[in-house]
Amino acid sequence: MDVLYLLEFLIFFVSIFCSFGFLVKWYMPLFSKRPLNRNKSVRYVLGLLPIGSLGIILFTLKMLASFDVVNSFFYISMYMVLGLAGLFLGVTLMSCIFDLSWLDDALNLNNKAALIAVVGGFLGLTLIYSGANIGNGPGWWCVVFTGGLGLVAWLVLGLVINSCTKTFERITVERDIGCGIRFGFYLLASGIILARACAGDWTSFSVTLFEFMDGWPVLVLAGILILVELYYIHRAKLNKTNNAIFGSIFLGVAFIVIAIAIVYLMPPTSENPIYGAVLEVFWRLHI
Amino acid sequence: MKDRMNMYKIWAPDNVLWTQWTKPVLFASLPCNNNDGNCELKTSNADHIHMFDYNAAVIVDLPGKESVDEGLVLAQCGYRPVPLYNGVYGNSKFSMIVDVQGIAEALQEGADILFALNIRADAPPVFLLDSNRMTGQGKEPGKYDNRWCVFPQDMPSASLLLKNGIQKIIVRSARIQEDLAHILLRYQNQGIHIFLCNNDEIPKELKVSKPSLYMSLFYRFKVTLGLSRNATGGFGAVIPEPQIGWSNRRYYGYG
Repeated sequence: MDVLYLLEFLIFFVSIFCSFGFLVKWYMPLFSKRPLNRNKSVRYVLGLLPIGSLGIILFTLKMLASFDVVNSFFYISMYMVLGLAGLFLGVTLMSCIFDLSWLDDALNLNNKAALIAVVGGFLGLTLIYSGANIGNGPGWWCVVFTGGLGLVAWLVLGLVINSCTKTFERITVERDIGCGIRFGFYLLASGIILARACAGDWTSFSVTLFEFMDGWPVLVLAGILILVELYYIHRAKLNKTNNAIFGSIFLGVAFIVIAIAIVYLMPPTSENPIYGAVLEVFWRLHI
Repeated sequence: MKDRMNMYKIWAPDNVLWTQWTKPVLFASLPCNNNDGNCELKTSNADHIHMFDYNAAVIVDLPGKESVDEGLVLAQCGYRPVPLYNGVYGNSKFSMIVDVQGIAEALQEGADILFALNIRADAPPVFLLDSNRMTGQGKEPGKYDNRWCVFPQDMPSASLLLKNGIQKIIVRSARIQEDLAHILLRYQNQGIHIFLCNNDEIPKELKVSKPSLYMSLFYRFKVTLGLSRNATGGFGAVIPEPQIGWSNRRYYGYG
């Protein structure tokens, strides 16, 4: 038991170190003096992103997390800094795997298409981590395992979409705002579905893997996006204007509505009966 | 004397399409310099590319201030110079791995020349690069590593160039560097003709060979790992020197 507590403290301090580094790396370029103020809006958006994400994580931890977390200042702090460290990992993976960099593309190159995709990606990552915190579980490894599953699925699907439609090149090199909007909304919508797949009481690693399959509708969503992108590529080849911003926003909102509908239509998250008994003891001790 | 902001605005006016690719990094780190405004425009060896062609964009990839001078000569012919220098100006000239002092001075002096020119808003672009951007021994301890690279994201896409009537690119350089090949091959694959022009030679059409990691998602990440990022954007940071501490163990400190 003592080893577990020590490990939690270790995770807490490592997460503090990582999240501090993340915040410095994130905010230092935003506050640096530049000769031009044209990307002020970009700075505001990027500056508010971690704050908004922390708000979402805090809400989840206070309302939907494990029974021993919701009222514990230590656990809430630990999972918040763990979340920031996880977001740091996710954003770094987005840079190296998606070639979609918040610093290079969104801030330094003032690429609006990349900014929208980065914002969608950041919020999608936040939702996946928040989803991993929903439900009862014996420790931090449940959150890391389920969140890791969601992150891997989210990244792999992004790569599949790119291999069919060259999405990343179109966002970062072509600066196709329509493509950035569609992909950004997709990243957010897939984050909602995968958050649902990550949610639920912890039973075991194998059961968690099985329960994660609840997120299968994300495959349909990715398939729809591939078809939509192939249509836009075809349009571009016919020399028709590809700057369909309103159409892209409409599609993006449709992705979000579909994702929320899927989460609502799904059966409730599976509950482990053992936590019912633990909860009873927990409440008796508190009363 | 012009402040940094004004100088940047002269090189990157708001109403011009191509100037959104101008890199602010070197302007932001420029040393304050009292410029008397009496600047002379240098002549260039490659007079045959100075015949204005509305369907051509130029990439000047020459060492140091030569690239700025060439850009200014082309600006007189009607082109719009777009500085893409992404290496930060270090504290001391001698500590920098890539010496950008000449470029910094040329940009300051050139601002006056450029200010006097009346370049059309829809003028074709001339992108300015320093061919010495990747010279040096890499991360040398104690030095200011401001080596940099140009990526496909740093220049307009082929479709945007074609949309704006650019059908050929003239590269003013002795050779095509690897990082530039990534960009040029993308242009060539989209139907833009690439020409290479070195000194007195007449521009010759070029078939760009495929560089390593072409179109790879990991290309930019891999290249930037070998360079030193600056916290405020661009590339440039002091490489820590290894020192021997009291415990006879090596550690890294700044300076």
